[in-house]
This record gives sequence, structure tokens and C-alpha cells, in this order.
Amino acid sequence: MDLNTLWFILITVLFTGFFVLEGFDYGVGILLPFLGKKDEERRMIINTIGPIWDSNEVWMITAGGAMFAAFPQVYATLFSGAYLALILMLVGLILRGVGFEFRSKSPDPKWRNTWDWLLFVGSLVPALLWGVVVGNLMRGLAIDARMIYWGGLLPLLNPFALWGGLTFVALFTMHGANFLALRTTGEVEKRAQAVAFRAWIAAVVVTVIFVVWAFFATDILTKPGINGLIPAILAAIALLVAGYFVRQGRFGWAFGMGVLTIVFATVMVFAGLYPRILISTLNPAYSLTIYNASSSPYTLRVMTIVAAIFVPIVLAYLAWTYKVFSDRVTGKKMVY
Amino acid sequence: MISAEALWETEQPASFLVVAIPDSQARTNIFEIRIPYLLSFLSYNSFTARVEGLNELEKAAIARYGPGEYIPPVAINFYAFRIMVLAGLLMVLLAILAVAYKQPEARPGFLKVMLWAPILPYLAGTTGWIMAEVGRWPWIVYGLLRIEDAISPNVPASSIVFSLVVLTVLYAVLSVLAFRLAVKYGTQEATSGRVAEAY
Repeated sequence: MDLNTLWFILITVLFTGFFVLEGFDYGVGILLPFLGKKDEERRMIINTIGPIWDSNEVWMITAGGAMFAAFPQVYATLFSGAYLALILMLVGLILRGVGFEFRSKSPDPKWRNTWDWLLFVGSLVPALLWGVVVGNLMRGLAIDARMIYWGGLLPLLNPFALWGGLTFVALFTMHGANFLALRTTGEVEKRAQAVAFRAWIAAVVVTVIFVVWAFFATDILTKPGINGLIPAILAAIALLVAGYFVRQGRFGWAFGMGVLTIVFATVMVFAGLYPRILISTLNPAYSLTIYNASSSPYTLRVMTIVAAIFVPIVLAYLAWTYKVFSDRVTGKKMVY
Repeated sequence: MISAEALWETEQPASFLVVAIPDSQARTNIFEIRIPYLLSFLSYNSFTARVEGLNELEKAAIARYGPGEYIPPVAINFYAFRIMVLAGLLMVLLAILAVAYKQPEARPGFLKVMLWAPILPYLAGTTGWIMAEVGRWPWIVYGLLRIEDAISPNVPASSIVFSLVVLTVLYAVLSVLAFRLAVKYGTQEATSGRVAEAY
């Protein structure tokens, strides 16, 4: 296997980790104003992800950073082309991050309610925009021979990509509801359990439409050679089984199935793209592939050695963090 | 670096300019306060070393990289560098005093000064970065890629201005809120025993 393919796989892994982990963060943020009706309830919800949201977001930074280092042309084309969308996402993420810290620092109910809704917006907007980005990855962008996308923001908000955004929001909301059903107590736990099933139904409907649409509008599932069809089928199975476990009230298993759904869905996208990364709708010859958009072999070699040393360390302390903060939030001791 | 010293003509030995008003059009300084020999020493550890000036360095750059402008804005660099060093030295001085005093917390004058001291790291950091980024002009990768060649052609200036305004306003609002929260918690009476519930 060459280093280009290895790094394509590693970036797939990083994006998968990011969507699995930040997925439930975004879901919790989206559900916050609805599952928490009183101040203590909302605080409880925030405290479930308070200690871990930041390390989850680091996966996004690492995925972007790995993209920058291994496939700098993709980083350049995508991030410059989607400049305004990224700024919007950035504003959402800033409000979210600050919201976690600021929200409970003043007892004023207007202050707390404002920040709760800013947390909601700051979770909804990035979830939606990431779905839009992935939708556009699947569909392709109008990239010219110089690897530049000139279209601006509006063509990125095409119907297929927007539905991709909706799919991400639905999946992450379900994922977040399962997480809250595992991590909260009392009234909030009951509400989360009820919402989990409704969110699952919404996720199934939205995702089925998205996958069928993708089958006809993109080549992700139909490309000869390696394509996303098998991961798509596995993702569908995982999603259906998740609903079974939600009905049974077994939310640990439901959450696990949600994890698998997101894992297989992400693998579906990247398997369908391989060996391209950014498809050009103008001319397939203009597409950015793992070969024409990558760094030099020397760079890839150095990166591989560094990653082999440090990624296991990072995974180890991430697991430790999760273990330390794994108890249910009871509302008695709330730091956030 | 030499733009940070506002040294236009090569000198041997070179003086350190404490204050200068550079004139970038005329490529010289309108006003200077000098300390002789000091720049030679700071640059090359010798009081008689030859320090190249901006005009000579630009000729060398033109010979090496082709025609063009190679001198970054001198006034900005000059003052940014000096403010940074001054802020840094003040921080070191305050640190030494805090350690040298037997009971610094009992000295109201010192405490009043320390109340304003947190501005210094921000000042030093910001001016340091200004100097680094302004001083790199016209290169984004020194000797290899100019800034004008690295600009994304598909991002219009309007988008850049939009993002600059949005982020500046956002940060300004958040900074005010953060400051007010800090004042609120800083001026509370110290409550005994309550640690985790303080938030």
C-alpha cells in the first residue's frame, strides 16, 4: 500500500472519529433547550459533555490538520472555495465553545437562556454545514484545471448538499439523545428516552432519502471498483438495529449502533471517493486525487512515523478522560 | 530584523537607535536618538562589527530574486519591536521585584502596579506578532513564495473584509463579557470552603 492511500485511510479514520464524537456533542447542544425545561435540567445536560466536548472537537482539528499536511491542495481548494461557509461554521463553534464556559457564570436567567440558545445555534450550524460539506464532496464541485473553485457560497447550498446537512443534523440529534439517555437522571433522562425514538424515526426517513438520492445523483455508491455501497448497506442495518434497541430501552446498545451507523456512513463517503478527494464537476481530469494533491513522499514518510508514535498516546489519554467522566450526571455537583 | 532597527545605511560600527522617525520614501530617518556601538554588539557580539543597512540588503535581494520591493514598513516594525522588548523587560523587572520583596502583598504601591501588569504580556505578544508578520513582507515563505503570489484568487476582498469585521466584532463583544465576568468574580468576598460550587 502506498503512503498516499495510507494517509487517505488515516484521514477517513480521523473524520470518522470526529463525526462519532462531535456528533453526540452537536446532538446534545441541539436538544439542550428542548430536553431541559428548568435551569438545573439544562445545566445537567451541559455537564454531560462539559469535560469532553473540547477533546472531541480536537478530532476535527486533527482531521483538518492531517488533510493540510498530507493533501495540501485539497485543503487549499476546499477551504478557500468554501471560505464564507467556513467563517459561518467558525462563528457557530466560537459561540458554542464560549457558551459552555460562560453560561452558568451568572445567575441571571436571561443571561443563561440567551447562552442556551446560542449553544443550540452553535451546535446546529456546524452540524448542518458539515453535512453540506460532505454532500458537496459526494456530488463534486466546479473545480477548474488550476484546482480552484470559483463558485462562492450559493452553489454549495444546492438541494443535495442541504439534504446532506439535514441528514447529519438528524443523525447527530438521535446520537445525542441516546447519549443523554445514558448520562442523565430523573426527568431529563425520561425525556431523552422519549426523544430518542422520535429522533430515530426522523433519522431513518431523512437518511433513506439521502442515500437513495446519492445513488442517482453521485457515483459514490455505483463507481466501479471500490465504492460506498457495502458500507451504505451496513450503515442502514446499524441504523435499523439502533431503533430496535431504543424501543427495548437498551440505550447503551442503541448508542453503540449509532456509533456504527456514523462510522459506516463516513466510510461510505470516503470509499466512494477513493482515489479522488475532491471531484470536479467540470471535467473528471480536474479532480483532486490522492496522487495529484498530496505532499512529497518525504513529507508523508515523516508524518507516518510521527503519527505512529503519537496517535496511540492520544487515544490512550482520550480513553482515560472518558473513563474519569463516565458517571451519570445527577445534578448534585455541577462544575459547568 | 534590520527594518526593526530602522538602519538604512550600512554602518561600521553600528549605533542602536532608541528613537527614530523613519521616512520610507526618502529611505532615511528624519530624527534619531542613537547609542553608538550598541547595534554592532547586539547583532554580532563585537563592538566593531559591520551591520548591513536596509538599502544594501535590498540591492542584494534584487540581485538574488529579481526586481521589486523588499523593505517592509519600517516605522511599524521599529516601534512594534521596541514596545515588545520594553513590555518584556518590565515583566522581568516586576517578576524580580515580586521575588526580591519579602512581603510583596503588603506593599500597596507594588500591588497597584501589578494590577495593571497583565496588560504587558498581551502587549508583548501582540507587538511581537505584528513585527513577525509585517517584517516578513514581501515573503510568505522567505525566498520561495511572495505574499502576492499566495493569495487565493477565488476569495474576493469583500469576503475577507466580511470575515475580519465579523470576527473582530464577535471577539470584542466576548472580551467585554469576559472582562465583566472576571471583575464580578475578582471583586467577590472570598467565600470559605466553597470550591467546586463557585461556578
